[in-house]
Amino acid sequence: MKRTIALIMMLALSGVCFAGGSSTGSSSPGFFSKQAHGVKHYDRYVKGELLVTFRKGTAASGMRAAVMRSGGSIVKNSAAGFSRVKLEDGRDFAAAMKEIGADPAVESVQPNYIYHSTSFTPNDADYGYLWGLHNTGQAVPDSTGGYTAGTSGCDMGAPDAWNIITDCSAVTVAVVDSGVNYNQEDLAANMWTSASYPKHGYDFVDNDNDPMDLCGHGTHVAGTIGAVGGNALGTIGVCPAVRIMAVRSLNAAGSGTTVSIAEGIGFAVAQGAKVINMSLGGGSDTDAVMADAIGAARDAGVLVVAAAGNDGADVGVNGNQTYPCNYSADYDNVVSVAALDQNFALADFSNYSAAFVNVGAPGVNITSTVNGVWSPYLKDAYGGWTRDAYWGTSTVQIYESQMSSASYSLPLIYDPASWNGTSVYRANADDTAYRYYSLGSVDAVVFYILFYQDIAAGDMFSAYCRSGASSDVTADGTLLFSGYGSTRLHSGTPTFDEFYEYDLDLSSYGADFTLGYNLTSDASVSLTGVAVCTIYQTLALAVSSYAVYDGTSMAAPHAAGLAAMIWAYNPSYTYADVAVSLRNGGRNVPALLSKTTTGKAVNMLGSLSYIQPPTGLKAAAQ
Amino acid sequence: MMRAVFVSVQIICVFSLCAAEAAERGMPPHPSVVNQRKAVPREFVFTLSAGKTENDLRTFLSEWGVASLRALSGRLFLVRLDRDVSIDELRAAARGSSVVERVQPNYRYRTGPGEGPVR
Repeated sequence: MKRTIALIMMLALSGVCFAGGSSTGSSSPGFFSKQAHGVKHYDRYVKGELLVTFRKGTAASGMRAAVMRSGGSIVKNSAAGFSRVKLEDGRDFAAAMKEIGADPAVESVQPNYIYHSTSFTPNDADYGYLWGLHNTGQAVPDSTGGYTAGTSGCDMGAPDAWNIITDCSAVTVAVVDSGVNYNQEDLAANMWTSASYPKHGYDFVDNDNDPMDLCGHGTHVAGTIGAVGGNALGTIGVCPAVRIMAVRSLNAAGSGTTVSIAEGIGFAVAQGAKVINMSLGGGSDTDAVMADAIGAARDAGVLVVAAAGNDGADVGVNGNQTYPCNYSADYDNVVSVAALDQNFALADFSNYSAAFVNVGAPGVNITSTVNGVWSPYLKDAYGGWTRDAYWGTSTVQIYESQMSSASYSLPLIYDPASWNGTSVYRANADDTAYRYYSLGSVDAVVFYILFYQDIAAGDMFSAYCRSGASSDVTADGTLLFSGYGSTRLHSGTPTFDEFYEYDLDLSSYGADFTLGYNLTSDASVSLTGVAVCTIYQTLALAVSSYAVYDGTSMAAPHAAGLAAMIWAYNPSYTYADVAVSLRNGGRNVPALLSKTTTGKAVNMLGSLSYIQPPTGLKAAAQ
Repeated sequence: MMRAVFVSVQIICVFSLCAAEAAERGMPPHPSVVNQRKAVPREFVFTLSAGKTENDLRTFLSEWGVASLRALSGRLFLVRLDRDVSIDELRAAARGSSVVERVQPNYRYRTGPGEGPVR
């Protein structure tokens, strides 16, 4: 009876968290093959050597004959029951193994794998904060400015994997996101390079060749995938050496479109990325252009790692779908990722689905590189607004909700001037308020426009912007948004619940611009008008900034980095091989049962070990 | 050794999406705002039928007015119209035309709420 012998080391990975041990064995410094950025790459097995176990009763002559046909000779018969076979120089390793394995005298055949002592110890300054890579239960900075401890062993087991491979620079990972600060001190050496794209990628928001990150999100994602390891600076990525391609598809407010993202995917595929990280969501099941882009990536052999989203919802429920996460059911090159906390509990914000979300990965209190420093939230002083008499201004104490005593002091401009949630705005209105901003030297500016709106279908509340000063921005400016209807939850005094929000990247208007609001109405009005709070932040780019973020956007790059590592370790793998290793090589986590398709958290050593033998690394024996 | 600048990001509920998103989930939101959040206002992606040209598309779009038009890869074009038009109206027009094979909104995507300095 023939049986297939998988020539891999299988690890039993179960349970929740434990302190992982390191792979041990004889140190083989002779197999240290190259250095890149201070990290190491080891060969996986001794070149030209096989370990062969013969069937009981096989004579010595039969043993020799079985290996000689393939250009091998027995170096030593081990007391442990196997023979060490040396192949002639130049022999095709995989072919020889297959031939020997097919001989009736042979029970099994395998490479002489190499084991290493623990030898790679990151010296990166903030390595101790990276619980997702190595969790000793340490307290790490959290997103509220404090510190939070976790459970030892709830991690991806990076030290074990790094003893096998740290150099993933043969693999390019495209970060389709808000761009990457390619000058960041801990990323610069790992950026993808191309003579045609000297700034390491492309910008599909502004359609130029400078994908500088004006948000911060993409730079954070990039650092988790591949911050340079062993440089004594900042953090270290899942892959300490890798090639990061910057693809700017989201603006400074973290927003993008079908076109900016689909074009980004197309660029990444065309430029040779093997893995695309997509820490974003939205769209629709009718977004055929996006689906086509994902399909084209698959056809080109590219793996897409997608964040599950942060709504705390089951994305398998109709109405909760988010893309590209939900493509995972139809496109086998999409791996979708939920977020785990430091105890390997599912993060309360993380989306999940037993049908559409595949694995979990660290996504809470994640320290990584960012693009610079954002100002605090700047509440706009309403006094700077030029307005006609129908707009009023005041700082108003707004209750969070009817059920809460919490309240916020919001500087508002509103129409009617007597706005209080019961007064009615005027008929036949064309009321405008505008403000000229001169923000000085900034790299980006994002506005958050919070508005209460209670206007009839025939009426319209609109926002406009234009570069420079204008006294008629509704005429010469660009429409930012407009709409009619109501955000009201109830009648009576408005609450903060009733305010809607637009996040707007106004960076393209420069540092000097005019922002305006307008309310128009027809002859019949009976509703209570609009009230607007304008808040903004400005960005100063920097090269040595790091920050703590939470989100499934932070979980996805842990998985994307691991995908690159799997591929670097197994260059002959297809995207499907990598996806299977990524999904199935993880560790069983109770919190992910019935919340993901696998119930597993990604695990580096587990995935490196969960190897479907590539073609030629299987042997069949009688 | 350079000292890393460590920025701790605070997610401040009052100015976060917390309240706004709760409102989004807890009420029948008003359609025009939701549509604008889900897709870019007045922007659509057209796939031309085989053999049709940009000029054919401009003719097809003439009744709505073209604010901008950009050729993408293959037979795709990104179009911004001069005025609000529903996707249903455009799809109906496309079905009756030999110029357009497919039309869809230019959907919005974004980072998750709560992530990073701009939430």
